[in-house]
Amino acid sequence: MTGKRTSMVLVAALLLWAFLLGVGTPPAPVRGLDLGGGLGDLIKIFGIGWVVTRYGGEINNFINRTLGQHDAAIEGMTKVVPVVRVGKGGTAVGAVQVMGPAEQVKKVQAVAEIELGIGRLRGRGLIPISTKTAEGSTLKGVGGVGVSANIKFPI
Amino acid sequence: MTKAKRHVAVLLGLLVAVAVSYGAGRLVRMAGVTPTAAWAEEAAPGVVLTATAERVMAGDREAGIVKINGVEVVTINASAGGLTGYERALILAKRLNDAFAGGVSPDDFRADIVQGMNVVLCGDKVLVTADQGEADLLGIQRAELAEQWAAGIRMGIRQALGLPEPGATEEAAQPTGAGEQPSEAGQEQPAETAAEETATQETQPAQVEETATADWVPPEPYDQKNVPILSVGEGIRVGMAQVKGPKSRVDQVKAVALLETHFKNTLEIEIYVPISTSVPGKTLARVQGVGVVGVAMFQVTGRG
Repeated sequence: MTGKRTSMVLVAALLLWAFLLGVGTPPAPVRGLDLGGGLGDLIKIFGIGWVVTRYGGEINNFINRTLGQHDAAIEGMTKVVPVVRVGKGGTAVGAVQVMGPAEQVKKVQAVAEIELGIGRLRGRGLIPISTKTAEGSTLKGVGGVGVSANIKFPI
Repeated sequence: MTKAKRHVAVLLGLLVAVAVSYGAGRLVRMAGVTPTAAWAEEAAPGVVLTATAERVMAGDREAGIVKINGVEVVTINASAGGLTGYERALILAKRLNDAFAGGVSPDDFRADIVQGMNVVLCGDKVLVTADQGEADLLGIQRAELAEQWAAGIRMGIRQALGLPEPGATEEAAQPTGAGEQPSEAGQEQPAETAAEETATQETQPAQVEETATADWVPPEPYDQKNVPILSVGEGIRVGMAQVKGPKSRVDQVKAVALLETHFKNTLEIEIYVPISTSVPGKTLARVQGVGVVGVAMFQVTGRG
């Protein structure tokens, strides 16, 4: 009888310890990764490109709704595309929403990121392109299209 | 059932129970019972760090006081880079809140020298520059000023989280010598204003050249220019943007308003709205047809 009671106490203590461990485990240092398995995990597992393909439309609508709430809706077409670095293959390093005339926005497959000097600052140049990669010595930009939002991924 | 099978069944049941208990604990944490915005192992549960900036007038000088959870940590009296002390305080408060959102400990904040300037860093991100004007007002060296500000921030966080003071090491450190004081450059530029909106557009990488597609002719010639990025709400400059569009529209653009939001609590989204006003109003005066083709934020490190 005493042995059974001891076992019960040990089991209870073990369960309490597991519960407290769950409560006490700190969140990951970067906000957004600790989502109990949501978008954050999908990004880690499948990569930015997949997430953009899967959620691009939803993100695009979300941005447009936010703009509408500020009476700043965009006239013309918008869509979300991945950002790729020049000469680094087609691996997405981020995503942006692009905007412009519908016939031009439809051509955009990605946005090429280059280093750009803006005034005295070093920044990112963002060139909408009609290919999924940014290779070669000359980028073929899609005229009339600009970036309207930058989407940051927690990686 | 044999005794061995019974033992295995009990063990498996126990493992499942432990996993369920752990999962329940995680759920409790995610429900917000414990701190999520600013985590410190010894922190008081439920405390969220928040930095604010208060405007105070000293004669005709607009100064700013930065507080962490109501505790005064940094006072900025001097103007620098075209910003008043209060505007610089607003930027510092915003950067502190950004840092808090990512999780910090007091020791993350320290004084250092970056690009010849005495600055306060959080990790490797510059928060504020200890400028000569402020140092002169207080009659101290810039290195000492940076140390004082960093110590003030650490003290404010410790007080907010109920953490013990580390003792003498937390006292405002004296500069250890001339090596810590960068040379008087003359063109000192604080981190808050690390760029001016001088609309020059140089420095395209040589191997990259944008070409317009031949099968689309714009209704009018396109133009581009550099304008400041202003945060919606605070209206302070947080970076520079290069905007592009029909020339008549680009001419109307005075700034790019920055709206920040989150998608599914995971993705941070920065929305750029080219506007025809110098200050974002309650409703944004969007200039249609103009897009952003380049972005540079005032942060020294990290991607834009």
